[in-house]
Amino acid sequence: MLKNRSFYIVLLTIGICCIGISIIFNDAMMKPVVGSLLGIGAGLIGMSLANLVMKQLELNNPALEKQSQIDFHDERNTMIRNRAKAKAGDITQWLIMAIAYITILISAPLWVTLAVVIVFLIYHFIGIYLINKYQKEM
Amino acid sequence: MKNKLEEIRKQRGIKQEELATALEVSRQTIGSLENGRYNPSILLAFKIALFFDKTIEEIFIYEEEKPC
Repeated sequence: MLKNRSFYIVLLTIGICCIGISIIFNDAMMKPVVGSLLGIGAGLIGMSLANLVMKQLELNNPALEKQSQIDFHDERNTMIRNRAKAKAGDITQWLIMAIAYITILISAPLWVTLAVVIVFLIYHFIGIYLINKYQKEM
Repeated sequence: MKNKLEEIRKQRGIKQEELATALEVSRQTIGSLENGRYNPSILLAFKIALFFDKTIEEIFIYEEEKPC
């Protein structure tokens, strides 16, 4: 569901600041940081502008807002969304392992392989933590 | 689980959109319920039963799964 307008305005401001900083500090030494800031800034600006436009459309058309709220809270849609997220997570864990093997095959530095394996382990620890949490809650 | 939702809704002359609005669910959910593709939560089943002034058992028919 769409959040408050102020949330997206803050994101838009952060995005503009990221791009501004990347332009100001644009030199060869800072190239990786500048590239990351440009990417993050562009992403934030695009996402927040799209959501602000949607929010404006909903303000102009209350029926659309009501329908989008119903669609978001609809139990079937919620189930579909949760199932899709779970499936995407399952697929991603095997992709992470595939990346780990690729880093071995291309003789990447050891820290790269270890970092990928740590991400895989963190995924599983988060899964175990959430299973325990939900078992206590339900 | 089978249900008589479509039959009861048509008897009352209610459109899927109207039922969806009354129950605050999407029209697609009503369609899926009627086709038997989706089983409702107990809360939605109660809302549907209350809306039609019937019991859950009068709308939804539980069928035991046959062992393979």
